[in-house]
Amino acid sequence: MALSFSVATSTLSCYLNSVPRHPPHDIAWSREAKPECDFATRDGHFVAEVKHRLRGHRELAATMFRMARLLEEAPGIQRAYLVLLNPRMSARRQAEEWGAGLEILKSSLAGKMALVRLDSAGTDVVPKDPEVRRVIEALLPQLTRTPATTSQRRSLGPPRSFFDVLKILVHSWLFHEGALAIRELKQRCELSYPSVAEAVRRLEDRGEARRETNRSVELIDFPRTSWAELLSSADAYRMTARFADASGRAPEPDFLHQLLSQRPIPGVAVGGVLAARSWDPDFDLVGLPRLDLELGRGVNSKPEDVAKSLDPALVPAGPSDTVALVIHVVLRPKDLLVTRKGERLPFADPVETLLDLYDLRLVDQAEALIRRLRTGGRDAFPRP
Amino acid sequence: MPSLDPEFLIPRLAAQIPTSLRNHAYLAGSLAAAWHFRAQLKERAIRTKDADVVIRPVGAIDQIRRIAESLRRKGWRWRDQEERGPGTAATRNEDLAAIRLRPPSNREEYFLEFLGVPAVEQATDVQWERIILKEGHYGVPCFRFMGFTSLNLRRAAKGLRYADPAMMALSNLLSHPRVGTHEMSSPIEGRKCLRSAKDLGRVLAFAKLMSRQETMGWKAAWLNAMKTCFPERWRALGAVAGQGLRELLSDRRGMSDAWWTASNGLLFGHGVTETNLKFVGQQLLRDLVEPFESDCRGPAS
Repeated sequence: MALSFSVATSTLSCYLNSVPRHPPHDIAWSREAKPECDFATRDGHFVAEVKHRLRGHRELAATMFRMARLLEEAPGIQRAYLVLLNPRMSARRQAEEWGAGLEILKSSLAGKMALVRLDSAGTDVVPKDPEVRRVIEALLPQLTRTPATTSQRRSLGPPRSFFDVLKILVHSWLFHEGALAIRELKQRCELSYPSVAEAVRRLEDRGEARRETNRSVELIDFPRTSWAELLSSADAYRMTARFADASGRAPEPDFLHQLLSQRPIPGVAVGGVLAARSWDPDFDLVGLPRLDLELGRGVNSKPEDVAKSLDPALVPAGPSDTVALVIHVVLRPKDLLVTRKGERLPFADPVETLLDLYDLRLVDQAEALIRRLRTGGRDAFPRP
Repeated sequence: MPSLDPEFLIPRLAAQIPTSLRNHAYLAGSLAAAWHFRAQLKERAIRTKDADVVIRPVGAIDQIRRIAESLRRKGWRWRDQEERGPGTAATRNEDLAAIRLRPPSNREEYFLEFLGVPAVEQATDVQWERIILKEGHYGVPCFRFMGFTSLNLRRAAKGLRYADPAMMALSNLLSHPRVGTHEMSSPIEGRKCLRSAKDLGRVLAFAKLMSRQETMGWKAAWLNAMKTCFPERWRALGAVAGQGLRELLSDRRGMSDAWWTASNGLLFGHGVTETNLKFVGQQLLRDLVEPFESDCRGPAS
């Protein structure tokens, strides 16, 4: 399948233009395996947490609180950096929320926190202290080292194959398929045995899967930790592209759906809220906030081209744009698109649908759908 | 350019037209559009200097004369008296002055312009009809595609009706198969604009103010209007209905003028950019115009 996406590439090239070519050699950052931070300097004086496409003020506030707690518990840390890669919040809103958050923290903690924003406009560091900037600039090349054609996430998370296996197992768990033979899993994922085995081992280590004696595997329960990991990498993993209506009119997702129904595009399935309603007639949401589409294998078009073919006014959405259409690329081998009688368009499978719902921040509805699919009413999904 | 509040003006206009003749008159153009979209006007008014009044049916010479004379008796004054006076029997129809009347009060800066409904299958862009009033001979222009606006009339106030935006849009589209170079005689907010850009820009303004579902629903009415007004030539004319709009969307000056006129008219205060309007045009082509052209070309009957 020939797919190439320009969104991540252009964003990455802007990062490359804004990071220094020769970072300070006296500051050595390395990847940190702790949950509190992603990177730390060798001497432990500086830590950094990296957020891809931070969504809004709640996520920012939660992250600031975690950083403040870390600083409180580890007084040896001189500064904690929050690095935002292409955040969805506007710079202005981000500055307001950051300032408001610092005001309510102890001054001893607030004074040790720094915010770094990398987007198409460049690199912005707060506070605007040359030394503060110098330290974090030593880290930035590590964030941009991976080639633009490969997922940036690869340097920060598990391989793609892990998520491929995870989704198949979640799908199997939702529908009570029981333990899947490794051979079957390998076939569904179209991965090599080592990749499947590594993914299963990772799930076992987390206590999320168990292997049976007959070389089969199943999830013990809904894999919360791995699922959270998938959610944090979902945009990169699914090569999600977001589009806004450049006509200036309020988005009309229902109308877009109608257009697509009139002229279906082979290999394109409907996800998001519409798919959720197809899986659960009692799905608790009025209206359609946006149209989610899954671009499957065999579609030799970029998401931008699919969007344009649907509506000439759809353009890549900026951070402050209202999104009308989201396209996710589903490269998973097994074709789990579902075609229902009487419907002109196929629907995305429940796992892709759940990912769409989480992306929409419809967490309650997503959990309800999991319960619905898994139990038919019995509450088996562990609530936080 | 004066600002006219349609909710204030139209009931008063209706009252000026004799009740027995009110059924023959309807508003078209900017004032009709302002009335239809009055809830969305940012200033509760539209900047325009003329109120187009179309008198129907085709050849309603007597009705035009009676309405004009009634207004004159009520104190309405000639607008262009200093530019061109009435003609005589020797004056050619196309050289006659149009009937443009200003309201009695000096405070009101607009004028009524009388238009006529063209004959079915009219082939010329404009046909001038002669009206003989007490002052002399005047002309009423009958624009080729104005006939669409006499269909599907909507009610305004006090029995006065106005043209459906869908019909005005069709009329404007077909009236301008090219962007051309003809400029309007009066500048708009200090800027000379292409005539085609103003009219096609109004089509875009309509589309911007309506949902895509609504504009998509215009197709059936358009087809019916084409067959009613051009029973012989509807296919040929309709098949290229979007020609001028397509050219406008790729014409730098045309698009700029369209945006200027629209954003100083119906879209004043809406913060619409030229880019927005261009994309509205592309959507309109995709949603409505291209399917319409296809139906005109194809076997739809």
